[in-house]
Amino acid sequence: MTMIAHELDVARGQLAARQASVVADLLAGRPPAGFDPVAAELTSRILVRKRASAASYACPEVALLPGWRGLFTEYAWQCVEHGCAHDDVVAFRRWLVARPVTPEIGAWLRLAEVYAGERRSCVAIRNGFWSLHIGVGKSVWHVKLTRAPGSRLGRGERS
Amino acid sequence: MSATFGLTAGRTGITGTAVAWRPAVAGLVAQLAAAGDLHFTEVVAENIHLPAVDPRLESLAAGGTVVVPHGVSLGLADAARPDAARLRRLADLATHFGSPLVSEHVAFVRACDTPDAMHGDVLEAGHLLPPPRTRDSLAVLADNIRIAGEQLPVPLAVENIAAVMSWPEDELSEPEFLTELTELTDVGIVLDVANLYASAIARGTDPHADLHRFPLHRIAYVHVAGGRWESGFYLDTHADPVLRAVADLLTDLLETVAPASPGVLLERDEHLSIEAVRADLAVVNGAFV
Repeated sequence: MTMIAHELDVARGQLAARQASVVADLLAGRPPAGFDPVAAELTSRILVRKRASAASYACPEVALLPGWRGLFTEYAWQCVEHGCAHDDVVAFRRWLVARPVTPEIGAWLRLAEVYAGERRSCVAIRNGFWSLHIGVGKSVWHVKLTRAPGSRLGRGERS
Repeated sequence: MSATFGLTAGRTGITGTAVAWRPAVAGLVAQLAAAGDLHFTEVVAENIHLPAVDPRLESLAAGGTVVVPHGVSLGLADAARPDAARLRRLADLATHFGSPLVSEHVAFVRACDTPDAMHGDVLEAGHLLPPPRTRDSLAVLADNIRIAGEQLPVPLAVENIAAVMSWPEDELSEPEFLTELTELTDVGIVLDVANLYASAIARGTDPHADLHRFPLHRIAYVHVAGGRWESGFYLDTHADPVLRAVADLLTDLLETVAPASPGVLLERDEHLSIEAVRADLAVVNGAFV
């Protein structure tokens, strides 16, 4: 089976449109028409897991947000990724700001600002402790303050 | 470029059991090579940045271990023609390591509303997705492989991916699609038995029956990896132990192609420890009966 160049160009055009439509649906968590909905939904979840893993690899502080995978999935299915994983985390932060902010989310947004070098310090939960986070150059130092229900002082550590 | 694939070619040096090279297991790979238990390995092309190659990998290659660059982002089944920069990276790595071949996937990884990715709105899937198995899609894939072959200094082999979903317009089965691909091009096959198992389970076919319909005579080498079950599907995670059923599929393959004995490479990318890799290797070696 061989195609002449013109036929191949037509095939490329049709394939491009079809792949773009299907990928847009999958990235938005929508089963494309005609696909098995269970398999398509699982494929969407696999895609968003990859995207979340890339975001948390690039910016490990993402994983400090309580319930981050669920929130990131909600974000990812609403917003197409543009740019690199760092850009994705910046967009995720913007998306979080635009929704009702719980105390946990608010604390994490301040922490993300420290990691991004936009804020010098903040108090936020890390590893079950309320901690003071201080940006020093490209590092962030953490000083444990209290752990609910009791309070305990911990040693500082750098990340 | 002429292909050297085929189970009896035996010219690639890709034999025995191997482990994919990752920094976390570089010591183990070196140890296995030094003991004569590993003759080849594979690196993810996108993770190696010439000329700043990890000295442990350079040392391994200098000691005679065959290093195969394995791409994950070329998108040979994209509607667009393969990107020249990505092809150049594969070519440069093959030249650097003196590799007998490079490998990629039968997958599309990005979509664009026009076949010209330079001028359209590109959606990156961020993952290997199965193309529709239509004759038009096959023609585009074959043309992309032809273009890639013209720009690579060594032969290309392509891997079957783990596909959870199938397209409603599929005209060919996966074995038929790959068989016709090898007839249209001189491409070799990296047969991933874990991927084959995952795809067969997802579409409700018998993995062993599918295996026997693959173009086994075009195998360049074999992949195996661990995975786990989720929602009735088998996911090829590269993060969990190698399943007994996958090891059985490997045994079936090795018995089918005997006396030829293709190289078998274990992939592990998460929960990556020497203990986990050694445990997986024991399962893989146990598949050689």
